[in-house]
Amino acid sequence: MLQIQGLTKTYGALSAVDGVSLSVGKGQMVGIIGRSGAGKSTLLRLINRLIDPSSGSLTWDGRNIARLSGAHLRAWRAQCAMIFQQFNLIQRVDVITNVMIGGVSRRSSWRNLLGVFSDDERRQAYRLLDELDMSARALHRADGISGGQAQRVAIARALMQNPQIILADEPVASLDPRNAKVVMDALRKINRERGLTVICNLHNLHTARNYCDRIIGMVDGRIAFECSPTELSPARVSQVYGVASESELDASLANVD
Amino acid sequence: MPNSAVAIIAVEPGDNASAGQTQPSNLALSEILIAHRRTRQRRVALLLLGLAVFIGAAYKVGLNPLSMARGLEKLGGFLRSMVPPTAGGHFSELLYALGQTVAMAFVGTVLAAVIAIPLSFLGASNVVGVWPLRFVVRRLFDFVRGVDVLIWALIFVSAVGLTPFAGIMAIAIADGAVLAKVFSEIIEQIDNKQIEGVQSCGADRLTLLRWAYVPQILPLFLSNILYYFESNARSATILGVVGAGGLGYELSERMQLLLWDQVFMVVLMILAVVTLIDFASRVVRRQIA
Amino acid sequence: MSWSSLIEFEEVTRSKRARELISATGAVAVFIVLLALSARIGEVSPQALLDGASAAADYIGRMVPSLHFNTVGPDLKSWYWSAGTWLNALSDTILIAFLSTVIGFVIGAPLSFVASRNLTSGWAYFVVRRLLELIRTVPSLVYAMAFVLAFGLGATAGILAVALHSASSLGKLFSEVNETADGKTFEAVQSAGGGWFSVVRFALLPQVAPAYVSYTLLRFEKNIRSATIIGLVGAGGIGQELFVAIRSFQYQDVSAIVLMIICTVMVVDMTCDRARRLFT
Repeated sequence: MLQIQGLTKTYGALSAVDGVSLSVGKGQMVGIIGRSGAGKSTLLRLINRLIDPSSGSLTWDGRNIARLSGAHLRAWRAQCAMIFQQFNLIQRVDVITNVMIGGVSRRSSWRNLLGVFSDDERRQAYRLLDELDMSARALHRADGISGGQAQRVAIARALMQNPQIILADEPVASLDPRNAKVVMDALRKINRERGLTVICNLHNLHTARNYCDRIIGMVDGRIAFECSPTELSPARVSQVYGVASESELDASLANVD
Repeated sequence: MPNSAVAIIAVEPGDNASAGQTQPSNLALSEILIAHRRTRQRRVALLLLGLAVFIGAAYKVGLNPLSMARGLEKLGGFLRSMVPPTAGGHFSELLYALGQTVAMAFVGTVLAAVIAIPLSFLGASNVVGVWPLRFVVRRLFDFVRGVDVLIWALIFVSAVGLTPFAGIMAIAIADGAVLAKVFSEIIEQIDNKQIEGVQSCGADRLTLLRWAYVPQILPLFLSNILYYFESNARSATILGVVGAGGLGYELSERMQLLLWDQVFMVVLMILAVVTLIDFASRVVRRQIA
Repeated sequence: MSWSSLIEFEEVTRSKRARELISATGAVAVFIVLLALSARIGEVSPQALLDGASAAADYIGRMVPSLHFNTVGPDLKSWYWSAGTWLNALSDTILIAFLSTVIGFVIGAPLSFVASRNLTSGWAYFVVRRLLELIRTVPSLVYAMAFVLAFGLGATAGILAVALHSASSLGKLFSEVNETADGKTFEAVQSAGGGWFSVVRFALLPQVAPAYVSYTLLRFEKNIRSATIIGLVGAGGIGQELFVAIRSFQYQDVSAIVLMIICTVMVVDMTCDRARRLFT
């Protein structure tokens, strides 16, 4: 279980994340909504510890992870897989190696350095790709596949980490609707079948409503509300996005995109 | 000086000015004539000024038309005695010198890369956060870069003696600085998303270097190294002039003895080796990209 | 490459990895052999490298002038004891670069019209274009050596050498610029009854002048560097002073002159860079 208490990240005078308290149970699928700049992305980076919190506490199953460093920090990152809006794959390296990079923390340094992968790792990576319907592209270079395919490779890499929790930062914001559905379905399936906790930043309300057990609204680095998908009322939507109705929101988002 | 450089090419601004003035309608004919005369006068004045500066400069450095005429006559004699080119029975010697030239460029470039890679990481702003160190490294690049490789060669010849090794060291130092600068700019333009991607999996520093940095920078590093190898092959041909071995040495030796037919042979060999290396390096570069 | 099962995939990747390993090993082996061979021909060995590095460090150590805070004035004066001569030589170098750029331009620009496919056709184009390419492949130092023998020691040989290289280089670059010029303006001038010279003067030059200026300034920067080194073979300017200083092991003179050269190169580069931005 992930527990966050008063988590704050300041950049000079600006608080990107401001006193966030939250607890996420095992196997939940949580959607975080909010405008861009509301601190959603910073919050996920704080949880994965790509960045250090300014203050507040962060625990996983009772273990403090806010102040980890060195090998402990790397071990936590491995447990807490991250998926990015721009996929963040290694462009010039083939798909299956990108997936095997997910297992980096289980290998010795020199094996990583020389790029020596075992047959077991190769098999696991292949099965993960197969599960995501990407095994046919295993030997393509990551810069030669489409966005929807790249995001599925990124999910396979995340699963290769054998994580306990997956953080997804706008995983479908750069994808067309059809590919967005494929990727969200995959995340949902992982959440259901493997019982993995998934925390997902989304800018699309429909997606959040359709896929998440629980929705959190963020405004100016703070949590504005927590509710179930059915409780996501127009009032709450306008609280987060500052618009009167959902159709107006759709219109404004369409303009932004 | 820039003034007179402009004077010679000043035809263009004048044209624009006159074109601009003819466009409005209802312009009296006399006005057009006056405007045109003024442009012409300005142009002539600038040209005369340029000419005066040119003549003044020529006088200062002692450019003498009379000695030029005599020299041209001599030069004609040189040119006539250049054909047919011949190796003068030293062909194997020249071939060895050619090999020495290529070897100088090759080893020099490899050493330059070996020097440049660690320096470039120190000079890149996204890797080294200590700005005084970065500042010192940057200024060092600029300093070394300001001195031509031939001057380095001359210095190393007087430090280590008449050997191709002096030329190799000259290339290594002069190009080490340039490559370090080029490399550090490549590192600064690295895509941060790929680094974050590998970092988020729990990679340590070495793994990050191997899987986030190297795949991005290696092809660019290699193609730049090849490019500098090409350019070094060109400069290696002349390093011998100051005693650093290779074709340049054979060239200057034969020139002093006025063996122009052999000089022509060496020049042809220089052209051949430069062309060959350009071609080879283009092939290899296409493989990398 | 395609596969329908994990087993097939493993077969494909195994052979692919084997191939990659072989080609990588081969490339590394070829590289090592070439390097070893080159090191032998180039008379380099680890020992020579160590000795060379310490000799170079020693040389640089001797070049550092002794400047003390209390006596900076006199120290500088004794470091730059021959400042007058050096400044004179340096101004010669700058003038050599200037004169050779101008001569190079005056010869190169007309030649570029002949070397452009859209202005000249037939054998004249081919011959001039190839000739320009051939002449610019030979380094200006080689010309300088030959010209010193023809014109005697001094700036005349240097100016002509750098000018020859500049003319061919500018001619080649300008002809490439000319070929990108808009052909419709050519037709306009031709339809008005203009001949070849009118086309060049009224249709071509107005289009290409900014690029000409930019390339000429760039050439001037390069010629400053060339003008410093041609002095090493006796073709005038600061290079001649540097040659004497290095050959007579006057370490402090070497550093004094090199510093002057570096400053000149930097100032000229910066000035030309700014001037270029004015025109483009």
